[in-house]
Amino acid sequence: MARSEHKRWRLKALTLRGFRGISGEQTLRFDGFPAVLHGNNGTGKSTFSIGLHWVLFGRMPEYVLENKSPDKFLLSVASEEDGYYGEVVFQRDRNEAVFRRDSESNDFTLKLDGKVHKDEKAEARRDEMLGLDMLTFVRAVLLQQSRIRGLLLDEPKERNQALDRLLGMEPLDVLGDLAKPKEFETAAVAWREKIENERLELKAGEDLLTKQREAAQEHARELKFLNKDFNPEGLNSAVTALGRALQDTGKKYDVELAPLPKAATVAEADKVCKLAADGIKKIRRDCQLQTRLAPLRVKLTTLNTAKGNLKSATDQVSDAMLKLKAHTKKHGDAKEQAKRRAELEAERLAAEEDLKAANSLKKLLSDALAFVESREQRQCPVCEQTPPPGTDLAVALKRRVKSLASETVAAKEKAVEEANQRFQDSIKILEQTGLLEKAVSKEQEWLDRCRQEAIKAMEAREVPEYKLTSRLDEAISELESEEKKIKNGLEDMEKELAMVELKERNIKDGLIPVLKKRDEIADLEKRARRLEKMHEKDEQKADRMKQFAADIDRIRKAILEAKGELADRSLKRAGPRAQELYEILTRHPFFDTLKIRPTRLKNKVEYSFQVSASGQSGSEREARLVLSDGQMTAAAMGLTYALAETTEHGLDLLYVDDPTQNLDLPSKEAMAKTIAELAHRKQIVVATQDEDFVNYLKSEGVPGLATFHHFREWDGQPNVESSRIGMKA
Amino acid sequence: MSEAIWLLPRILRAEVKLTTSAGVVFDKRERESLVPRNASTLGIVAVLFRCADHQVDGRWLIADPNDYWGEITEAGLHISKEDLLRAERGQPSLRGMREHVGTNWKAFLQAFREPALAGLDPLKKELSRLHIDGAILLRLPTYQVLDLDHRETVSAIISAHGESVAGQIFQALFSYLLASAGYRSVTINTVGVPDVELGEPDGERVGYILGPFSQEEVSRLHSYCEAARDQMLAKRITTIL
Repeated sequence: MARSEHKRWRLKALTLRGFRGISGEQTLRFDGFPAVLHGNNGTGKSTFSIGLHWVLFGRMPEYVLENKSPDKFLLSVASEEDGYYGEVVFQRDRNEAVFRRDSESNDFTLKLDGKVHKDEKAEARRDEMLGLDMLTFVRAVLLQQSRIRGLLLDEPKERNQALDRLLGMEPLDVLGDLAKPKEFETAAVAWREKIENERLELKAGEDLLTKQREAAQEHARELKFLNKDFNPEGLNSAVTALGRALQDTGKKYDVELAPLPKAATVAEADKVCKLAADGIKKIRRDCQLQTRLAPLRVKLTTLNTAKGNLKSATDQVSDAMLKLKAHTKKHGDAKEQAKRRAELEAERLAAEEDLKAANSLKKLLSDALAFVESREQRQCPVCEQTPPPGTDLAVALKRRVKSLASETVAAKEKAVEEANQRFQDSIKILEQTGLLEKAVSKEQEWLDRCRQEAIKAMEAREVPEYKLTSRLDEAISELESEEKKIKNGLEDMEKELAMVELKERNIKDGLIPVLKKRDEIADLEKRARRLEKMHEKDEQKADRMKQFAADIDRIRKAILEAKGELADRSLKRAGPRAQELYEILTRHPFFDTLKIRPTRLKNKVEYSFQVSASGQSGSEREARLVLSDGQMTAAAMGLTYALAETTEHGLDLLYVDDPTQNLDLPSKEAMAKTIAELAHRKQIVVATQDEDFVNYLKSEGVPGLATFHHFREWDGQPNVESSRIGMKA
Repeated sequence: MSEAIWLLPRILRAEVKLTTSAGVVFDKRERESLVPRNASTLGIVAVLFRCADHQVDGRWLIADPNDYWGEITEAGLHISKEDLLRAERGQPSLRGMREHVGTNWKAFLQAFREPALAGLDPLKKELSRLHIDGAILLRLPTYQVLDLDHRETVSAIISAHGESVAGQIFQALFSYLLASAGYRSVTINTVGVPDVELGEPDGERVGYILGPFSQEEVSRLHSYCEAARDQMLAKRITTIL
């Protein structure tokens, strides 16, 4: 077919600079003709297919290369430059479309019809012009055997994925992955669970508070409260009654009290109870009875003390006088005692004189003895008498002295002692009399003072002595009687105050706890109402979530349905051609029919890749189980070409990279025939290292001119020898 | 009490029921008794639920069956609580009535709890007497009645008298509560239909404006206020006609 007749774009030239194995700049020219890129592995052939892809789309499919850091993959290993550049020229009739991409400036341009479009506009024009996206490009234009490897694997998932890619299902798969109703179902369930949990929590709270309130009410009933009291009005009534009782009691006992305020809330009632307690204290402290009682008691104490003192003083005087009387009775009065003392003194003196005389005589005799003993005197020097004959004067004197000393003097001494003693005693007795008289006088004085004090205590002017005690008794009795009255009055007051206190305590211990629980229940109900509103919204949210889940499930099913339909259509469309290519490339003697069918399951579309013997029902087998790897490869390649051919787009190009891996010689020959046949309808570019295949291609021939690009040893740069050869028409 | 300006129908008829299940049935006869004979008559259904659903328990749900459910059939009308809740949302014209009942019902029941527990006759006597004296609303407690206590009171009345008699008791209570909006005459039919008929609206008693307005006229009045952007007045005109 002449070039000018082509309605779609063909590849004219491809230039790369600093790109992968190309350190400088390299251009391959195609000029719209078929081409073969031939060379050993590692000589740079694939660089051009990758370059073509990169220039057009700027990125690779994610399963080929993560696009986060493509530079490592795309930057030339031998270049000193930081960026890489590519240019692809397509031609259609006389028109050219030039795509340029520069990694350094990040520019992408398309020059078309004299206009230069840049970046997004260039992309939009590209899509419009080529009529395909990147994924369609890699499955319908740039065919690599690696893409069909998945079909040979044992894992059904991998095989399915490979077919999905061949059929261009990626966008639907992406949508299908997004359409996950489970999350929304889970969210709906979570919302409802949250609502239910909160409701249960509220119910539990309500049950607990109800029990507590019932217990409080039971206790309040024990304190004689009724059901009608268990509310703010009841509380206020009870507090009002308390206030009234307190006011009445205060009035009765002349204590002015501020009226208690109203109380319809627990806080107010607490305050009122405190005020009531203070009021009760005030009544106790300030009531008239109390104010009268204190001075009365003081007066009573004074009178009793006076009475006591008076009695005591009287008794003391009596005692003193009795003692004096007894003393006087025993020893006489003072006068008599003085007389007796004088007599005793005289006796003492006389006794002393006697003793003195006796001592003098003794001395005299002692002296006489000494004289006699010294002189052997016969005559007594004392009496100047001569003792009778035979009497020893000294002995006689000695005897006389001894007798005087032991008897007379001793007796005299004793007499003196006794006289002294009697004299001393009489002095003592006299002294004692003086003391007793003084004591009587002192007690008398004290008694007089007590009398005065008693009269003063009675607040009287004068009271005769004999009436004093009785008057005292009277006064005391009067006061005691008054005290008793006051005490009785105070007792009554205490009883009344106890009633008021009981009222106050009952309110505090009985009614307030009930109202507290009531308040807590009211708060809980308020919270419940707030939550109910939120729950209404939450339930709506849950309903919406459920609806979303249902909608998304429908979308997911629709996507699956669409996928199934698309797969059906694509496979039906490509089926005859795939069968044709299967027969050519596989040449199986028995399993001569290829059947690829999509099956819609619940959550996915599965493909069966089967072969069978024509005319033999029940002969269907899974292809990978009965075909060899090479046959599978050939069958898969056939399918790939069939799908590529039946995909509509704006490029009249099939760029096949290494189509003969795993193929035996007959299959390579068949492949060469197929390629040659395809070249009738399209611009075919084949990259291969397979010498046999190249020879087959050469012998088979392609229509028109074909370009051979021979890749020699790579030395930092592909070394390409290009030649144009005329091929068999 | 709401400060809404209420326009009372001259005659208000009601079928009033108590139920411990999730729905009620109004037979053909009952429904026919509620069909309005002229513009100043209104027929409503009012249902009190006690069915362990916190949202509706102890509450009066009120609807105009003629406006909402339309055709009267031999089979009667089975209404669930969900139906009534939907009808409430779909009948804003009865908002005033619902507000009056809703605002005062708990306090009203609390005020008449003891007579209600005592029995139907003592209750009716008490209600009638107070209504004649114009003192019925003065009995209402001033404090907030707990929902818990309110539900308990409803249950206590049902337990004390059984569902049938309790239904009549609640009927009486509802009648006088509704009548307190401004009706002098209260007729309770223990046997015939409708259950309740209120008449002789008395504006002076409760300070409501009365007028021979039809429902359509009131709706126009409402829309004139809205058009004049007098939202406040528009909101205050709540018609139960």
